[in-house]
Amino acid sequence: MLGGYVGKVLRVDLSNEKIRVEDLNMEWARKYIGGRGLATKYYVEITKDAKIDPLDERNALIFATGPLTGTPAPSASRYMVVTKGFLNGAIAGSNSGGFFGPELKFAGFDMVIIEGKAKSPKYLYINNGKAELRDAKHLWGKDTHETTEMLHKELKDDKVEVACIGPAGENLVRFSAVINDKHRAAGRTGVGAVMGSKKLKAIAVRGTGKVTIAKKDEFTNVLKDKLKKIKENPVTSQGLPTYGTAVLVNIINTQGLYPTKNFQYGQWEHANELSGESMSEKYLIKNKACFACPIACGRVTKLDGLDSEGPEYESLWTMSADLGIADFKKVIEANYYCDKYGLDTISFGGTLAAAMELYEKGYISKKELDGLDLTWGNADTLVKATELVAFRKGFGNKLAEGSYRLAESYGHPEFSMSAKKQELPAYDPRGAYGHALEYATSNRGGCHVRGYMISPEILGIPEKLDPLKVEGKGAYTKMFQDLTAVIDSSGICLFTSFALGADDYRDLLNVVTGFDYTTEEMMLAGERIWNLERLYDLQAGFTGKDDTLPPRMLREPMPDGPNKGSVVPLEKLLSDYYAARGWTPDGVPKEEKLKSLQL
Amino acid sequence: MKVQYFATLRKITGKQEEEISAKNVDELLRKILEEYGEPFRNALYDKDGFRKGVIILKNGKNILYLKNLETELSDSDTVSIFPPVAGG
Ligand code: SF4
Repeated sequence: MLGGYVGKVLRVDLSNEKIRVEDLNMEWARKYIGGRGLATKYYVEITKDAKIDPLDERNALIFATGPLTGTPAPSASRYMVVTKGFLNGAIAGSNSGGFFGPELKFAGFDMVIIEGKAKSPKYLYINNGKAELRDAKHLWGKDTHETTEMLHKELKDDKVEVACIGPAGENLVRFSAVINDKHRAAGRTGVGAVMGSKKLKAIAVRGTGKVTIAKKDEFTNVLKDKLKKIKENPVTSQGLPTYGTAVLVNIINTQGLYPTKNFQYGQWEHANELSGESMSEKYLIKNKACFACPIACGRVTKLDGLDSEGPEYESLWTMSADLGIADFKKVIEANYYCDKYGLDTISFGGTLAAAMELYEKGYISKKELDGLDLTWGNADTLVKATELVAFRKGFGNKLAEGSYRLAESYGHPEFSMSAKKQELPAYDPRGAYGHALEYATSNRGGCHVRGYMISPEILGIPEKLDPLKVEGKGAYTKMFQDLTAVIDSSGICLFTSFALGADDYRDLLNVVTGFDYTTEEMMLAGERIWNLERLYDLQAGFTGKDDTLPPRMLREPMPDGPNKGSVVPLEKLLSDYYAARGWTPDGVPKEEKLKSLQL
Repeated sequence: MKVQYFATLRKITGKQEEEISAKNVDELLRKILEEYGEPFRNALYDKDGFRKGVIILKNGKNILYLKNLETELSDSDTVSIFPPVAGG
């Protein structure tokens, strides 16, 4: 018996207001697992032309769970949003936790594929195998919290799970997010704007079904074993639950790769004041877990009447050190508004940081700012900018285009700290060369969670690698990227990987699905997914030349801290990486590689 | 030298940092373990030695790439000690 998959795909044609249900392609499921991988396979088969504009109605938007989503497997909470991203036109996959993904499975669907564009605002209501498009004019203009609450009221059911866009998605902000559970974001790459362009305000889903487990008898023991590993691992049993992801602030700062003021420096004097340790002392009310998660890294924070969650490490950094803002309260407030308006925090902060540097260097003049003060460290500007960007008001309209387009419009794209036009997260690559490679090669643009080399290079998990060594980083990064593709596709949270390894994921996948993956076959599926995404990006117009980093990382030696003097030796790193991938020196997968991956 | 504690080590020691003198990392750790006993030992070691992910830095540099436990220390140095932590 097969398990894990519900076996059904919901196809929604917004242009013609037609809905139909299809059987899941199980042959593809075996090869692409689910979630990110399987949705990408569906995406490329459906949206044949990779060159279309992301806002073209032919751009499909897919919400996909994995086979483990909604099972009792640890942290099996995830769903992916896959589409062509509005921020950079690369294949976008944004991952989110909470409860939306599991609910979709309980309602009877592995995946929802949205095509076309609605003539007027709609929301999709899915209830136990049935689905309908409903009018959403009354929701248009509302923020993500209001939308969620209004849908709960309207559907007379608080248990309905809502994934929606806020004003940012409606106003086509390049880095707008899809938000579920009010505070969980499929944040990166501008998937919110794609949803906004389709005039789809929300997906509301309710289900009471269960996910079948193929090998029930074995499942209990496998689950016990994996939970034990998570419980015995100090990271997943103590560090993350006690301090959340922001526990990283001090460790990254002390090791000199905490990007400060738009990556001009690698250490920030206020890091300890705005760290995970100080957040849990001053603002934390309780932890919050996603579905079936024993780790519970989520933070419920309280501040002057705002019931907020987070900020997570990346969000905390991008709105503090990256802008030189040492006001914790304002950072929590801005983070709250990012969730409410539906903005990706990393790109939001990264864009503001670029604007502040352009202002400091005199490229942006005071005159055009309508009183907005772009001086480093201005906390009021941070909060104000969330609204200006989400509604594209005043200078916010320029910020809403993201740092690359903003900096380019002033003739200085070099001040955008991005890769493939997506803003870099909270690690200066001059302090970790494998991570530099991950930034440069991530298929969705500047991103840390497609092959988190910080883990071995800085945190020493699963083993310690010298962060400033080049040798071996190509193969290691490839291995991490392939494994991450597996994890993202299975529907489990990436944070489990601090305690679990490839064989553990294989065990979980096998008992849940009934497949008999060997670790090699499973890793090959990860590699297949990576190459499929790469092929899409190449067809969309990217080349090996786009596998690069901002000039600052390549030419400006780190000015301070333990990495003083370092620049990223990207050329050498890339040639090792391409070789490990079986790609040409230009970064194109070779024929024999594609054959071996059955692509 | 200045010794900084992070994450759960702050709860165990009740401090963010303190001044301790030692000629190398080995001696420093012995002094700290003497002071804070089992909870500190548990946070840093399992039966095979250092737990995976324990990080000790001298002036921001991992001692693994210096002389490990033999890394010399002087009064002007800062030593930072982290239990295994991660995030992302
Ligand atoms: S580890 Fe954190 S993000 Fe991952 S599933 Fe658990 S609570 Fe959610």
